[in-house]
Amino acid sequence: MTKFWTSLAALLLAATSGQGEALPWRQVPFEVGEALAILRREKGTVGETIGMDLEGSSPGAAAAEANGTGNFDAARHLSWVIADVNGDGRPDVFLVVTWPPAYGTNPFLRGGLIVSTGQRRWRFACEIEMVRTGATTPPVHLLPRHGRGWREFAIQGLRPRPIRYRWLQRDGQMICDPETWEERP
Amino acid sequence: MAGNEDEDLRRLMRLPAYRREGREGDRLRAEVQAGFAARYPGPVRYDATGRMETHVVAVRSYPRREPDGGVHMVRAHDRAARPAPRAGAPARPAAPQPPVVPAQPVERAWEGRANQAWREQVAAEESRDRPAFGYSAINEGTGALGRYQLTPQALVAGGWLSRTGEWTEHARAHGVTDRASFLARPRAQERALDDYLSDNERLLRNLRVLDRVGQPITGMYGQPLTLSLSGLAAAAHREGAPRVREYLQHIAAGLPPPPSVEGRRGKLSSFREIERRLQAFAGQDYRALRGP
Repeated sequence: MTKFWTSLAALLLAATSGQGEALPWRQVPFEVGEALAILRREKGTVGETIGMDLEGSSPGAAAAEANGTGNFDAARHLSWVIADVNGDGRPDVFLVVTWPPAYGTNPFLRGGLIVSTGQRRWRFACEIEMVRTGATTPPVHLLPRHGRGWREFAIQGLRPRPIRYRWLQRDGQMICDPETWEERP
Repeated sequence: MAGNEDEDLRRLMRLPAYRREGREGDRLRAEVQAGFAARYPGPVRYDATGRMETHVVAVRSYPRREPDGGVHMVRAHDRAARPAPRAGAPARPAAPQPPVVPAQPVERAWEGRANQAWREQVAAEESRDRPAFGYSAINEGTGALGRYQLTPQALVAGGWLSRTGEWTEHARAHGVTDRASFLARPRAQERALDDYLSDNERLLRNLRVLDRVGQPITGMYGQPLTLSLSGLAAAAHREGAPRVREYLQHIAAGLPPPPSVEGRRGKLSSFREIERRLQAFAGQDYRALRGP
């Protein structure tokens, strides 16, 4: 009985003193939202696809929403990784669209790497592609090796070994490019 | 004879489809990789950087000078080497056995269902020559399951898997609680295909792609094509309804074929597959599974 009163007193004390378990609200980070806007504008990428209206004259069909085949919803159909790939101290964003209608029975997921070029300024660096075999989106492996000061990265493709993305300079900008044949020494 | 030990896998590698992009090529390459991996188990692993570990024969790319003087890298294959023989070591493992072959005669569950011939054609592309009419087929590389090689994304779209990978109530109502029970239930697979096709039809209709059934188009390389419900359903089954609309918009705009991209599947291969399916399924009967 003494134990009960002790617990109750501790609970009341915590409540009145503002302690206890605080449950923070979560939201899509602003970097992700801004990077998504860049991806949407990039022609020929999955960013174009996600702008399509699949609901037509029957918006919000309950079954379609439950199955994930309603319109694209960034809160449900987007995976992201935030990392600094070029060491400039600003976040860069890997985005992958997990929206089922974009893929058919293809196992590939597509997205892009969006790099920060300044305060609230972003640039599309390359499209990325990966194979998902289950519910989990494969991770991005940032590699220790630096190419022109930019960190290369690897993502699981259809082949047994991950696809490595290297950095190239084109038109004065660094773009990432999947490595296909070159073997490293 | 040592030279012939892997002849079955080498025969697959000599097939023209092995070197082509597309579903069949992906399937063959995955099968060959799985075969070599089982026979020469390693310790061969690829680390996160893509570098192979020990016991590896790496047949690297080599430069070839083209007639115009440019250097072109010819990509070769790489594979695990046979582990060094040890005294008393067991014989090398046999070729991988096809997974989950039911002991009972397998039901021909597609027969008598809507669009039977269409189903047979899709199955021929997805799981040809697999035991149990393909119902037990698994592609471990992609997670695609069964006779129609439905991927996790397709099963999500059909309402059979949740977005977090659990089998839904709808799946359980058809006796499916895991991958094995899905592979063991031909009728459930046919129903899952119905659900996926039905959802695709909804998307094709909402994207106004179905309005164009019967229209002639000119393909990316100038070939004449006619848009049929059967062909559009087959194309959307493989590439997704939004991609089919992108393709039609691309054609309508008179744009040249998209550029080929190294290392990724890319839009060009996707568009090629759409055109191939539009042509291959054009003559097939197909009845819409859902009303307007």
